[in-house]
Amino acid sequence: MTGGRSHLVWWLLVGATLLFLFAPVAVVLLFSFNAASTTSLPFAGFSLRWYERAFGDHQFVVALLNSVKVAIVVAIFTAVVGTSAAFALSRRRSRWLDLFSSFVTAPLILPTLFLGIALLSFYTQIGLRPWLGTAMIGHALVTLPFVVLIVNARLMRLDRSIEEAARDLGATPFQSFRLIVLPLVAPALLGAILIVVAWSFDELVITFFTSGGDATLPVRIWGMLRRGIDPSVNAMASIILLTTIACTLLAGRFISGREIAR
Amino acid sequence: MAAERLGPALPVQESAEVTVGRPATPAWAPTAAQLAPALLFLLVFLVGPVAVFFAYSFWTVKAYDLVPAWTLENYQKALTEPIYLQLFAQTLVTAGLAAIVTVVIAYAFAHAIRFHLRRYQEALLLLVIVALFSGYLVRIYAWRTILGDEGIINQALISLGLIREPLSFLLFSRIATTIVLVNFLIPLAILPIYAALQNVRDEEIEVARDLGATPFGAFWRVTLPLAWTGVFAALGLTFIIAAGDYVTPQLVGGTSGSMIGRTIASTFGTAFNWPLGAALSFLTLVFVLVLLGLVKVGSERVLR
Amino acid sequence: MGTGTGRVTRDDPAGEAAIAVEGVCKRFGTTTALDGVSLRVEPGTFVSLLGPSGCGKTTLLRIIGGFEHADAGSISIHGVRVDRLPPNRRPVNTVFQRYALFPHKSIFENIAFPLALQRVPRAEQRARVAEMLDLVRLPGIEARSPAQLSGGQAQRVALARALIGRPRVLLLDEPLAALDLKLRKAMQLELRRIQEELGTSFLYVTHDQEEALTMSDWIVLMSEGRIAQQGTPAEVYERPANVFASGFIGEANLLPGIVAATDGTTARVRLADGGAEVTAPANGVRSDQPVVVSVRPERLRIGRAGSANGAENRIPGRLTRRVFLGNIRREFVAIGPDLVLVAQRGVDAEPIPNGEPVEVSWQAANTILLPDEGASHGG
Ligand SMILES: Nc1ncnc2c1ncn2[C@@H]1O[C@H](COP(=O)(O)OP(=O)(O)OP(=O)(O)O)[C@@H](O)[C@H]1O
Ligand SMILES: [Mg+2]
Repeated sequence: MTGGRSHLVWWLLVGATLLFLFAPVAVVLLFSFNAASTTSLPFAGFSLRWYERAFGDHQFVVALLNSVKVAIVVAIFTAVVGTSAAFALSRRRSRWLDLFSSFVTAPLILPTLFLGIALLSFYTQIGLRPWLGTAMIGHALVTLPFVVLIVNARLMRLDRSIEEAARDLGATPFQSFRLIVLPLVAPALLGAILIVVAWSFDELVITFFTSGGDATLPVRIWGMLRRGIDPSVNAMASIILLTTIACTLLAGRFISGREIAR
Repeated sequence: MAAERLGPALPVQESAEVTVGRPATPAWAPTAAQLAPALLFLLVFLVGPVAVFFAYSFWTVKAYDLVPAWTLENYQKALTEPIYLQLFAQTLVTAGLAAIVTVVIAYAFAHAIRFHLRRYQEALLLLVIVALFSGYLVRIYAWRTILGDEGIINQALISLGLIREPLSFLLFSRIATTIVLVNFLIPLAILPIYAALQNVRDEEIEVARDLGATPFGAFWRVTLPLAWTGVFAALGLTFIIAAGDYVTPQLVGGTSGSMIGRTIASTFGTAFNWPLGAALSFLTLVFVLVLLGLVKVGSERVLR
Repeated sequence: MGTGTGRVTRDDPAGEAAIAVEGVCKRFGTTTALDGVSLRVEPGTFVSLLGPSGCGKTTLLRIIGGFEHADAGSISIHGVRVDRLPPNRRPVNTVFQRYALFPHKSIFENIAFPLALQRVPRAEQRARVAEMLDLVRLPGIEARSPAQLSGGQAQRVALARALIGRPRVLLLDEPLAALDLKLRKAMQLELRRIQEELGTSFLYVTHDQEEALTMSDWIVLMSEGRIAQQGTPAEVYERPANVFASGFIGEANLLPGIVAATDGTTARVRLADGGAEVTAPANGVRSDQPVVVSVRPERLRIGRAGSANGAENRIPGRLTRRVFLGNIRREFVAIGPDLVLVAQRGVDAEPIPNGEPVEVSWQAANTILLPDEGASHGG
């Protein structure tokens, strides 16, 4: 039957696309373990020397710690502020709330270059010296919609009467939130937080313009790239990749792809 | 019978006489309180920066200092000097090309997992999301290793005996810029298209086929119009992001593959001309939005 | 205005009602969900709120429960104004249509939830949950999770959870709507048994008139945000106050006509279709008033033309169709060009072939005259 053959065609298409998407990722991961000091074929054997070199680099370690700091602060901030906003959006329908939704998602559709230099202009204008903290603000701006959208989607699926039942049985608004609603949206929130961490860990452009001299991991790599190729960049890049891939796969355990796709 | 315990029905009172027991706080108060932190944050750190940035586009730079001159000089410069005009054109062509290629591939992918590989759609979608969040900078520079003179493709072709000299147009060219843009934009485009295709019900396509439409006819007349909002969203998003990108042209574009983003970034770096950079940024957005508006109007005509 | 919550206002001179609703209005945008509703639920009774879909039953229940706020009017529960109290501070509990069990908690944790909030000692919690599960006849299922329950079991657990705090008033919003017919019948009896056992006042929303008639002490019939009639099941069934009530509760033949003559106690009505005359208790109608004659199918008798039986009203007609419904038989008799009466007879009554001329007869006392609201604005 033609069904089987057309199935194959679709698989080829999907497979080719995925190959195209993951080829650069695979290349970086592979070369990070290559013993040779040029990033070209043929493969010279397995080695961890680039990882050793990376961790021996003081600036790299500082950048890694900065990345972790930024990710943690941004995740906590967006989790609290975003969950609260998601609640407001799920409670009632109104044109104002729709407007707010578009407002929250706006940073997602602006180029990060635009946001980065706009933020830099703003900080300069109000006399705020760029440092790691100002970079966190930029990260929060872009990642806030992830939390709002994902948590809101879960809340919308939650039967309102479950919450009303809790209130009816004597729970205060806070008790019904803590004992009933929060445990039920926690998986979605956790998934959203992992997405936020993945995005933050990978972010270059906004951070580059708004962190002053404080480098995160991608900013450090960016700086090294401009000074010529050093294979330990592959090891550093692999650390970013492994972190973000792990976070996203883990997020996939808590939220379905469809929820992210909206 | 228990009914004997019941009193007579109350006479129905005029409702206007009994006045209102409104709750002490208005119903929207909790909503406002829950929204307040996010709203405040966005007002300060989104509206504020965009406003300042817009204002800067009317300022000038004198002796390495920003001067609020309130002039149209920057816009004038951006719209008259050939170097900027050429960069705008190059940017719109490259970004437009990248967006179109991206959306075509993304549509095919989304279509495949939505209609033909349904059993695996959750897993395949997760892979797309992994790709979306796995490496922006890393991904771009990896392409240097793939496309360079010493890169994987050239080495493979040479060792297969297909070429003698490396194909040097692969890197530092418009082709390189386009390939790399498409590479990181595809996941971004798949998600809205997939979401839109989810809203196309199978019956709608089946009805069209039942009424004699060919597979392509059903796609063109039924599926695509129904999914068009998603497809257009993907097109718009990828076009804007491609047009505003500067890491790609910087790392793999060379001169022929350069784009306006690179120039804008340099006005905020070594060139130190923030007002000009601001004007170039807003002009880029305007051009992109105008083009997208034209596409929208045109597509609504065609897909009627 | 502005005084704190919990202000006590006694405004029910006829004695303390379990629920007293007065003049409640509620609008959603342009739709008026409730338009001046007043009702009382006497302590310890089972009151049904009955009406077609969209008439405002749920809205009224949610206002009493504290989930919506009325635009006007007042709500008192056992003499205490509760209008400004949040749901958790109102002495009522609600059983929701879709159970609303907490999916992440065990059955025990679900039922003990109100007790846990009040920090009742664990041992007492266990005893009272067991007691409640006995009451709803599901002993020993404490450790299960809500996902492991059938619909009927889930609804019993929801009931146990709503009752464990010993509310004096329980609100139920179509709690049986999601159950199949057989289970629904069984649960109706269960609910009534539990209500009588505990002496709790029940306000029970349903759009199933049969359910309301079998379960309740008192029926409140709603239509389009207003109360159309209230009374005991017998009253609303036997003496519908208007065409709506007559059509909604039980089944009725509704025949429009004009009052030809009346002496204050009985009236003669000329039917609009076919021109036959009908005698009925006057029920306050005036001469020449457009009315609707209402007769229940089971009050009609069908016999061959001319058979004597002492009924005042007799109309000739023709048998057109019959339907068997278990142990009763439903006959359709054409008495005018467009007018068909429905009668109900036992299966063992004398069979008459279709198409035969027959005579439909019934007693004047079983006839109800209702003002025709469609023709002149009364009521
Ligand atoms: N939150 C709301 N927003 C807008 N309109 C509403 C809302 N809740 C109820 N309504 C409207 O108010 C009217 C009464 O609704 P309600 O739910 O009280 O009806 P009901 O008698 O319970 O009907 P059903 O038997 O279908 O449950 C309907 O017209 C409904 O559309
Ligand atoms: Mg309802």
